[in-house]
Amino acid sequence: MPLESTPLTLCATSRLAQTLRRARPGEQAVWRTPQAMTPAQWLAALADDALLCGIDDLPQALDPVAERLLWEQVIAADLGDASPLFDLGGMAATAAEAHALCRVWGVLPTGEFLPDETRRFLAWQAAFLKRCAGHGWIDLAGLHQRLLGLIEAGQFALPASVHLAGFDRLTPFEERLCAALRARGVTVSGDEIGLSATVDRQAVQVFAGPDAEAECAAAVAWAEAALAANPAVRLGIVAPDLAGVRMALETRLDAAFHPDLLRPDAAEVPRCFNFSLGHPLADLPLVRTALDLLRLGGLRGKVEQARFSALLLAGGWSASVSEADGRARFDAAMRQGLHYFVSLQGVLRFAERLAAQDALACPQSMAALQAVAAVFAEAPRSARAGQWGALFRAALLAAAWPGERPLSSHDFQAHRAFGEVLDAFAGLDAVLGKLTLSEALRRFSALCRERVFQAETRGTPSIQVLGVLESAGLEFDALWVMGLNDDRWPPAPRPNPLLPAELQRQAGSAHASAAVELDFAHRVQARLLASAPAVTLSWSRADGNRLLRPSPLLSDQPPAVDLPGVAKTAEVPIDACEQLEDTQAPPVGDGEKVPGGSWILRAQAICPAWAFFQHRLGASALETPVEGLDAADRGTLVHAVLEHFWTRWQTQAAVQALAAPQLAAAIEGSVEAALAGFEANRRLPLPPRFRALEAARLQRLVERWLAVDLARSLPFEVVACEQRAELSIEGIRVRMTVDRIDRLEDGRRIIVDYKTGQRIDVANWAEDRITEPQLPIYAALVEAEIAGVVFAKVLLDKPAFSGVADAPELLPGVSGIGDHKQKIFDPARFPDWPSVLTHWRSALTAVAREIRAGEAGVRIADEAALAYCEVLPCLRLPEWRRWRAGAGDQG
Amino acid sequence: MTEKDLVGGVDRLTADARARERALAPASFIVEAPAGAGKTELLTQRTLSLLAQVRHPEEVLALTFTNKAATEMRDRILGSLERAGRGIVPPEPHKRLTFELARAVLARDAECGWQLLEHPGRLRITTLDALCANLARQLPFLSRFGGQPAVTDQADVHYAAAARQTLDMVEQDDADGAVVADALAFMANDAGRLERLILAMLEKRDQWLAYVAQIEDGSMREAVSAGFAALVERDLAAVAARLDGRLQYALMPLARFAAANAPEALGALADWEMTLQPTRDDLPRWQALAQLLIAPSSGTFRKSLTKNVGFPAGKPFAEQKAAMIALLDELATVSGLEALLAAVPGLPEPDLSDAEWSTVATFARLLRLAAGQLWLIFQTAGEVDFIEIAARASLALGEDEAPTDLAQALDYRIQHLLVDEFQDTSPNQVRLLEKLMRGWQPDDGRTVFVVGDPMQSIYRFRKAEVGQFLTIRQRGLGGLVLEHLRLYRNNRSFPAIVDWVNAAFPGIFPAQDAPATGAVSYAESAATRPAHAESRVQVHPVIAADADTGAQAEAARVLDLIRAARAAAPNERIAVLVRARSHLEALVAALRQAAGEIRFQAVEIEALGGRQHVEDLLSLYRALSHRADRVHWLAILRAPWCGLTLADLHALAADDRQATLWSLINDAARCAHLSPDGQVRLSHVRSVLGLAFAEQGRVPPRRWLEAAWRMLGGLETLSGPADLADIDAFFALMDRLTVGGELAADRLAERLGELYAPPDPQGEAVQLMTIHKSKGLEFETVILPGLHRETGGNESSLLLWDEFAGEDGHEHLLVAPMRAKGEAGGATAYDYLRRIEGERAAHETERLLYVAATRAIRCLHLVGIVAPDDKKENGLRLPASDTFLRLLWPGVAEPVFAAALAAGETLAAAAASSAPPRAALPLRRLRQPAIPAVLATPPGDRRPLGNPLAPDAPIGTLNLEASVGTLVHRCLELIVSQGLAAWPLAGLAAREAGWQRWLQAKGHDAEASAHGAREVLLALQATLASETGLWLLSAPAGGAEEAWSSVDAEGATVNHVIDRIFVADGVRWIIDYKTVRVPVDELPARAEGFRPQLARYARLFAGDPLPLKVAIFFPLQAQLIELNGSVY
Ligand code: SF4
Repeated sequence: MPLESTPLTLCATSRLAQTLRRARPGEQAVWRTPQAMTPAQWLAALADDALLCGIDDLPQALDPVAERLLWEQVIAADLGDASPLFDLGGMAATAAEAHALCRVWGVLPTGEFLPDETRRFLAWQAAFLKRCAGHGWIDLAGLHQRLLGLIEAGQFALPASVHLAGFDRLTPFEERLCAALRARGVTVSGDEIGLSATVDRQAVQVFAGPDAEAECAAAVAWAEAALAANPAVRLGIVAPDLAGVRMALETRLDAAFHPDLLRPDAAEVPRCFNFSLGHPLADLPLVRTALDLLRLGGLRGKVEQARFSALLLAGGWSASVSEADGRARFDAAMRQGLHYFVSLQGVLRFAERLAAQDALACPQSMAALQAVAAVFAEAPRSARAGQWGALFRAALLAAAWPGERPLSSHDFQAHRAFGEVLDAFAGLDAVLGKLTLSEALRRFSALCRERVFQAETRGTPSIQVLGVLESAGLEFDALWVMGLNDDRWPPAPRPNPLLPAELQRQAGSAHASAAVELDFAHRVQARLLASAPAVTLSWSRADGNRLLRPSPLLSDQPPAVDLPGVAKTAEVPIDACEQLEDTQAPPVGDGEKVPGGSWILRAQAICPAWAFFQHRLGASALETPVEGLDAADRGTLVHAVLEHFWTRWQTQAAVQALAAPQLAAAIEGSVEAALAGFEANRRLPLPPRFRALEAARLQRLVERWLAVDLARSLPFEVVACEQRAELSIEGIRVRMTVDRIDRLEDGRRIIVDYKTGQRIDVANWAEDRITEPQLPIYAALVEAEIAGVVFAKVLLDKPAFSGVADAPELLPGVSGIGDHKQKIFDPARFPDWPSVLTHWRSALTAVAREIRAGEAGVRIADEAALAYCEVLPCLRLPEWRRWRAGAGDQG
Repeated sequence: MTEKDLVGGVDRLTADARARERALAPASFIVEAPAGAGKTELLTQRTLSLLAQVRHPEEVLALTFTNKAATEMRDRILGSLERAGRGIVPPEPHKRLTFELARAVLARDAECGWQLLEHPGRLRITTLDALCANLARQLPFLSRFGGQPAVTDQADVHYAAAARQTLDMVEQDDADGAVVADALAFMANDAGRLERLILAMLEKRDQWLAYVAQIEDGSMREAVSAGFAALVERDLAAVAARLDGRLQYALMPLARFAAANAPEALGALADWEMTLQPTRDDLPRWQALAQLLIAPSSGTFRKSLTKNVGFPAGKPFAEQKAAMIALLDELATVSGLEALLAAVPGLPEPDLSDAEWSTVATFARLLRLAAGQLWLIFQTAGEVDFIEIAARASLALGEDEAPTDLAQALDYRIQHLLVDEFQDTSPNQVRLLEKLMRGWQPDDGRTVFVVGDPMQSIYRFRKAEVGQFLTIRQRGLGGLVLEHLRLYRNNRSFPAIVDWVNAAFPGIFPAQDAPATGAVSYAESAATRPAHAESRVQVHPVIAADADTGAQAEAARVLDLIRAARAAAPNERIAVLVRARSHLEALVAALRQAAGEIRFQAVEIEALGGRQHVEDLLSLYRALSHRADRVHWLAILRAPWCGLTLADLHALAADDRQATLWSLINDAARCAHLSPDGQVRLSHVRSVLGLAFAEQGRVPPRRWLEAAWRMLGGLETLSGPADLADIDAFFALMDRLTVGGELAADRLAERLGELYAPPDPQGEAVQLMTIHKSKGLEFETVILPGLHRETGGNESSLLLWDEFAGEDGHEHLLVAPMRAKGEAGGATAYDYLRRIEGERAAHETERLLYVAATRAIRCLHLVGIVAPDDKKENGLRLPASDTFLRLLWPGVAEPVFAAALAAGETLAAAAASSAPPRAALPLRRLRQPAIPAVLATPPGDRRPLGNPLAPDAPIGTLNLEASVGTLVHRCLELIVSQGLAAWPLAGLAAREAGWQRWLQAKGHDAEASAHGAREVLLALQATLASETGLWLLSAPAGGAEEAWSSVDAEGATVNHVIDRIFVADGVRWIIDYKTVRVPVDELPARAEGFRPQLARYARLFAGDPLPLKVAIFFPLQAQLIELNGSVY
């Protein structure tokens, strides 16, 4: 066939090819775009030609994804039951690499004494090839070999001349390709690759910095200076570990060159620098949302509630803007109302329930989610990738993905790329066969993770930040190569574990050995040194506490000097703050409702600001969903059981009269009633097994507690359970519930508060600020005739009473006022019971008066008392501590 | 020189020199190197001497404990090779040896062509963790790994997830669900607590996973009983050794008397007539006897006898009582007996009860389930923890019966193994080393060399087991006997320090080594430095009744010491070392008060989260991440960048608790009720956060937050460069934590809690750190405050495990379950194992003190607080056990404190006050909040335009019509380049199958592809059958599909791909192909639609002299439609 006149440049990287295609020869306005592509791209075009013209019956090439999938299937089939133990994807990638090494470098393991790993691999390889043959497929490297054969056989219209650009070394395959081209009469140039000519050492500078951070800072400062001197300069920054320093470099470059573009609305404004690294498509918010919608919308089973939260809080679907607040509110409700693990149906039902109460803040979004669920509800158990792809499209449409916000330029590109991946997914029909939904989703997500997304840039930015490989063939006015430490440069060899290391070493295949890597690094470094008239090299002395050494490749470069210090460009902060006294909120107005029961008095006593933020402004922490019951629920249940029990049995004598089995049955009845009530209240039936466990716990705990109650020497009658009281203290309305009121035979009453946690503080009852005010309020302000105020510690370990009473021995373990055993109420200050009540009355009134007056400053006696404070972030504790330590307590 | 200074007849320094020389011999050694002995130099020399003998440098494998140590050692070796290469002979003798050894290595290098200096990676100096990771990766199949997962040291999220998943199995209707239910029942259905316990067990699953199977099938039960029995009998033997036959016979009648009177408690002694044997059968009697003799409350011999122990009051019993008292007095003189007897009631019945065993079995199953869940989670996350890596490495190395061929697997043979810090290795690590050494024979030329210092073993929390060092010293490693060498030299400290340590520590450390309880006896050192006049060890007593006063006085004392040391020697380094971070709180506060005077570094001491500006930033992130998070929204409105007054907050939020604050902020009517100042402040926040929300998700979390913070004026709220450093550290953390573009606020908050404020770079001279952090470091002055402080205990485990090497050298596995809540009972195996753990911990405390003391080069200051106590003889309360002060008390600290007490240095207690302060925190806020100038300008039209998307825009571009068009294109292009001859009309149909495959590969299904291919066939047939087609495709002097470039107005390159361009009859034709299926009469209209595109092509040739014609060719219809009129 004739040769085509257009010359072809084969490039080492697609980046180089793109650069060459874009290069403008001189100042020409219009020119023929040069033909530049990587060998793989060119061979793919040839394969296409062959297919279209029917030259040879080429098998269909598996793209890398499809090839790996096939390897996975082969390996899984071999491992059988053991395969769940393996990371099959990783194993498949390793096997595919090994297979390519065999093809490209001619590494061919034979003989008897092969390592286990290699023997396994060979078996997989045989199976792989068999499957390929069965379906008319071939791996890429294999296809390339076939194409090479066709070229050698005189097929294809070839260009008259081929130039090789940017290659640091040629693989045996590439050498054979060059030879074949020459044999066909093609002029091949640029393949005599060796170490480049000597470089002017004058133009090379070597720096040693304390760490990578410092290297980045210096490189950015260097770029700043260079661009200031000549705005048209083309700079390169190359790092062997680009992914590792990317964040640091990007942040610094942005701060140096575009401090004004930190604004969120300037995120997509083109910068004067460009990174050769993209991001996985799946990491883009738009795509992440799409995948989450598919995963959760097609959910069968349960997942962590947090996954739904993330979806709700993310924009990008349904009423993403108009219901953003509503979605957040729904999430807050869900955290409170649903368990840690939730099902899709559970979430949807919860939304319906809220809607029924007219409390659903995001109806449109939930309808969309419902619609997605409906799409998947129709889905077959298993289907081909293409069918799933269609379903995914339908589901995303139902979800109104990508939401209400107009797409930005990057969003748009991401949307397009996502569509392409979805298209490509359908192309895997043949390899994947029939899939279940979760399989399909897993595969599809993996595709999105593998697809590298890089937003298009227009023109060529002044600063190119590149990895070592991507820099191939590029030229700069000045270049900085950083991170030249001996642990990365030369890179550590990583021979493929499935092939004998010895064979790979002999073949000199890529990454096979230290020698190969050193040779490679030598070539790259020589190429880099020649790619710009001025080159700076740098390395770090340490990485954290690891000591680093310079690369051995720096030994024939000028000796390293310390990095010039970079003046910290970041603005040194100027404190532009004022301080003013602001401890006074508006007094509680007549109409203002201050909810919170006795809790507000407690909060105010500990820290006035707590009471203000939590009770007057209604701040409460977002809940963290739990699986099963949280501590509060468990406490509520204990309360409920005891309430039910005593409401039924009333007196100690009545219970004492019960025989053991009767007592047990009585408790069982109360437990059942409590659980049923709880479930009705929450509209959330407890899972059966868990419910049984909880019943057993309650039974045991209550039995144990009743033993304490029944052992009391003074007979009693329970006259009230969960007694509500409402009163007004200094105009602050306090609503409260007293767990239980006992009446002794002489008519005196004891109020009892059940405690199911360990922490009990009675000592504060003698203080001026009462931090456990519930019982004192009741005793001092609600009912007369109270002779004792106690906590009942309903615990498996050491259940007991704790509190104070008018006289000793009213209750076991509770000391009386004025008693010599009394440790909390100093007999000197509190000679008798009325003195205690008087104290409580005045202390509580004082705190209530504070609330009413609007006192809301941060002042704290004991930080430990804030342990359960929900509004800590509003109290600014660190500032308080520092202020206290510095200014001292002016009070 | 006293006799003590002699070791085997020579003085310590000579013995040391001999040991060092011997250590270079080609044999296996275990070397004990106390603090400051220069063991790194020895390791370097040994490594060099081995390198000079091997064929490949890879044959020498040196393992260190930390990454840092590995890099340091590598640096030393490469450095010595470089120096040797330069040939400059060092003057110091010990360096000269290193130099000579390095020269020999270079010679070997040249001989074998290693090029070590070019390939420093060939030196195998690494950590055990890294070695494991390498093994697991190099053997993906044998390690059952498959992939090459990343290793994380922050696997706690995964543990937590696995624990939750396990608990969630409770409702499964199968055996697994029942296991979880049993476990929950055992924990009183406290799922939260069980979850935490599972999590804790997963963190150390390397210790138990191997046994789970044997527990489940019950085969281990007997072995465990035997293990406990052996332990119990060992303890009883110790008692029996002191309570000899004579004493026992003296006790018998009295014991029988007591038993008769108190049969319930002492019944076991009723017929005691033969001496008790240290066997499990006699355990009940031993326990009864201990009950008789020891008062349980104090653990001492009874001082009085009551009827409870069989000695009723009253005349008739006075005689026996007196005899017993006399005997008790005698027993009290038997050294050690009291403590040993006191422990006897705590000895467990060796057989676990059925209930206990079934608990063990339940938990074992539960943990296996949890481990299974963990593996699934690891797989999804694509990362594993170090435990997994180690386990996989061990798996890859194979079982003893079927070992993996290591040489083949690693591509080299390990000839020599060196292990540094050997005292810190865990049992599993030792097992791994043994696997590496499988098949090694004594004298086969392979050697192992382990170095360490059992006295410095302080990593129990990382599973280091010091007892192992002692055992291996005695028994060898992996079948090789190790020659024991001991170093004595201390090159670090001046004699005053070394001598003090030599004098004090023999009394602090136990007298005898005991591997099982981790007891290590003291080994002496000899100073090599000359005496120094200013060198000393000093105890600084603080005597105070209340803790606060004491803490303040202590901090003041430490501050004085620092000042004095700084003044005396400004260039020297000072370290303040403590057992736990929290012990430094008061001191750090005091140092900050002395602001600026003393610069210091608190190394990982101060939590970053405890800084207000950092907390504000976190609140901002939380508020931005969740609009319904009312607490954090209120917090950011109160933060300095906004600083709303309480009154304005009240006006804004008090009456609406449902709506989000963000919606309230955007409610203009509501905001009008705020003060004018408040309105200004709120509108500042509104504009900044509004902008942030508009772009939510388009910027990475860190930049999103940073932008909002900076625009709010966050920078202006800071009070100095140190604050800015904190902020940088916060953002750096965000960068690190962002995975896949996402960062949950909870996770950020959690990790923030573990992050410490960056140290002041100019504060190097004064360092505050924990003793663990100071390991391996040295300072001229070391101050050790908080001698009196204890460290908190840790939560109990579900199961306790222990391995115990019996006297016979047999390993026993011990396991015991925790007691269920609310169950009472006597001594349990669990408590017993806890006690052993407690003993080990106590011994480690001794070693921790040793490590701290030996950091000092010149001065060591010991500071502690003791409370006065009138009831005590010396007037001082005994320091709590498990404190340094208790260890130092006899002989070292007590005299100093007693003297201080005598001198009246007691601090009075300050008046306690629990009333809250009257003054409240003022509001700190920006005077005038505004967006900083640099960020004030919107990007305007520099921003690429948005792309409105039709609501039903298709996702993806796959479209059969377009694909067919492309395919027709490609074929036409091929026809032009290959010539018409290669595309005979008759042969077209044969190519249809290829086209169909082409379409399928694009993602079209089989049916669509067949249809498309047919369409292509039709188009090509039509074209090749038409004259226009033939003319078009065969015209000369032209190209098929030509790519052209031009520059646009902004100078950017634009690409144009022209389907067909040629010159015929002096006219340049530009033709575009369009494959559309429409009736012929509609074609002209269609063609018109493409005018702009063709015009663009035409403009490329605007300067061309040739006349130009542009046209659209429709292959399906074989119609060429020329576009007339001006095409530009
Ligand atoms: S159809 Fe494919 S997988 Fe099945 S036997 Fe044939 S080659 Fe193997």
